Amino acid sequence: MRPGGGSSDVQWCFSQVKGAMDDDVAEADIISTVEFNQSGELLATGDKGGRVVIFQQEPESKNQPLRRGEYNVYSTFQSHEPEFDYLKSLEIEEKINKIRWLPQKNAAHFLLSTNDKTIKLWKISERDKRPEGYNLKEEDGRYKDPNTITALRVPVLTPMDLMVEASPRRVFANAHTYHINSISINSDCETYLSADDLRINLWHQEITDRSFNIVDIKPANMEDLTEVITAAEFHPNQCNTFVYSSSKGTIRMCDMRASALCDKHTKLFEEPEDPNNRSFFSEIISSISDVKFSNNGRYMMTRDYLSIKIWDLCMETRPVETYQVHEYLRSKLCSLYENDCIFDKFECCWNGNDSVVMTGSYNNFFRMFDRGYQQDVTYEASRENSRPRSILKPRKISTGGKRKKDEISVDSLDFSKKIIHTAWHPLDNIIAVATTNNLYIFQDKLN
Amino acid sequence: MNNSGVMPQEKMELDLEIPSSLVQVDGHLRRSNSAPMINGLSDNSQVFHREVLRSRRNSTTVVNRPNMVPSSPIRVPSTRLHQIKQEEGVDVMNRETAHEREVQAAMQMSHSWEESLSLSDNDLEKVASSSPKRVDFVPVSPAPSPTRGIGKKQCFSPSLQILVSCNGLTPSPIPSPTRRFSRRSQSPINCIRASILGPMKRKGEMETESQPKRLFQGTTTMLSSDASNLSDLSSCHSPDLLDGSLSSIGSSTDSPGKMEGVSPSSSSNSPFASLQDLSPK
Repeated sequence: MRPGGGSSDVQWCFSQVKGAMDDDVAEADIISTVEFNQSGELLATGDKGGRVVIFQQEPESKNQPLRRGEYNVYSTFQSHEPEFDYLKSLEIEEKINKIRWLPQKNAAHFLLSTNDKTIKLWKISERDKRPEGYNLKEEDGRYKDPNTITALRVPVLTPMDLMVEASPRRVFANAHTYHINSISINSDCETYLSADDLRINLWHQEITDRSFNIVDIKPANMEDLTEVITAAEFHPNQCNTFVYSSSKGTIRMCDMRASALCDKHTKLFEEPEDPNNRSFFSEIISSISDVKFSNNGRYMMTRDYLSIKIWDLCMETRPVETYQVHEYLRSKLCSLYENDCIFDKFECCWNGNDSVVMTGSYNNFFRMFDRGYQQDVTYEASRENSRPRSILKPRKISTGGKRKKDEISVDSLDFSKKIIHTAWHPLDNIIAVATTNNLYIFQDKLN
Repeated sequence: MNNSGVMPQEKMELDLEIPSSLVQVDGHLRRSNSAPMINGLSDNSQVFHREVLRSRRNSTTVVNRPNMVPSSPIRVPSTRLHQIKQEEGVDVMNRETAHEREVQAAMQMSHSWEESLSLSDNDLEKVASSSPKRVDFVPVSPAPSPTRGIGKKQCFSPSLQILVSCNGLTPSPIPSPTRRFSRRSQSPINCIRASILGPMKRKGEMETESQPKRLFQGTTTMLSSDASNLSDLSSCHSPDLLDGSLSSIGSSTDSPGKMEGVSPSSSSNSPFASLQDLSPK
């Protein structure tokens, strides 16, 4: 694996962009989740219309050994449909909130996709042969007149154009009163968790009619409710450990060996508030929008509105590293509250060897922080930079009065262009960055 | 608090008191994530129109500290915490009244909206595509067929970059490469709509013109009574769920009708192959 470089030794260049290039955004096309599988060969996206599109990386060609394969559409299917809750007279969105790949065990691929209420297990398999020569049917499926059949033959499997089938294998429904925000697959290869605003359930991958409730923060009196669960994840190799984050900026780690109901946390990660920065919005911006364990399982990363924090799992009192994503927005919180941007739930991700972390921002910017070199860089996903293999130029935002050339002033940032979902290839320097309805793929320059 | 470890489906909590009236706001059915917002003075933010890019809100409590309030009028915070509290609030009468008012206002708005649209055909198409979920106030009939619980197999051909029928035969005619696939229609749900990321045409486009707009054909799983839950569950226990068996649910039912799509983009070595460059209409 190539060393996951930061800004010092890696040059990122444009590789591909998927999606329409016009300005009209159909609501159904808004990308809502992006996820690589464990090998990085497959890249799945979910959108607001309930569809899943899976891209597959072409194998590297022999003619161009130093160029990585492109990602092309491999499969697409309608995962979730809009539904209606008659009891509450409320619509259930079909938007795909999360996709998680199961580790591959055979030729087929499995993934979990979820909307607000229902999780589905999908099997994606290839078919490249079909039987021909039926006795009772014509080739187009019409049934033959039995009187015309004079001999019997055995159908033969003949090659056909590759077809990728997506079939729903399990539907895990009716277990969440509130909106599902996270799913996470356990390293035990048997169970997974799903988290909504107030509860976390543990499922067995094979059993759909029941789940174990392992966290319940709903108070007896709803007036006492002060925080909600915002994200949850299993530890990458300790099958008994998971964490969940809250809207108040805390992360709780739970050990399922301690008790059946994990309301009592094992560890509570919380950084004391900086009194200098306290404001009307302090609590809102402390809400954690994403939590991700590092690949080696020693750290976890949390994303709140303005920063990324890296926590050592052994130290609960404060993070070991803090990176400011867009500190220049701190003075704009009032406007961002007005236009609801303050509630945007940005995601974050690690690279393969945990040396670099990445997250999105506004104006279609995304940021990378190199933990080793202590450097950070801002790039933009835009059509202007979309020439093949064009190298991404770092962007700079000017906060002071004097704006240098090539800098962008804070006031000219486009807050409707936000990058919420990003993903990093588990083994290579390939990243997928989702703007509103486009998916950009960048990779590092190979010499 | 749920003290038992196991949470079988029958014990789904019904402690939510939500008014049963449907609310139509700007052509959208009220979704469980929407909260009434008293819009303050919005500054010159370049945010997308809220109806288009509405995302679910994060939730925090907003502590009202008198000395540190925003300069604009405080509006009801659109946080997830507040939405949940509101949905489970005790004051049903006031909520019912407020909802009735909203419904009245929405009806008036939608009525005047339609009137202003009838003047020009061009505008109508644009508006129709941006508010695809107009719905009548009469709830649609519930309880679709239980066999829809698990859904159907869907097959895709990477070489042709279109959806195909699952019996392996490609549909005819061959998709036209020049046709630009448009955005999601208001058609019934049970045909797959092309994702903008994959260069396919929507399947079954003929259906959109002939059938009326029926919105909720998907499975309804949020039924209140135990009996209904059990009947839904039993449909999920069909043997097709067990791994290994060849599932034949709906495998050859999707006669493709008219299928169109753009040409496959993947195979050429042109540097611009990956750009889904669709010409404007």
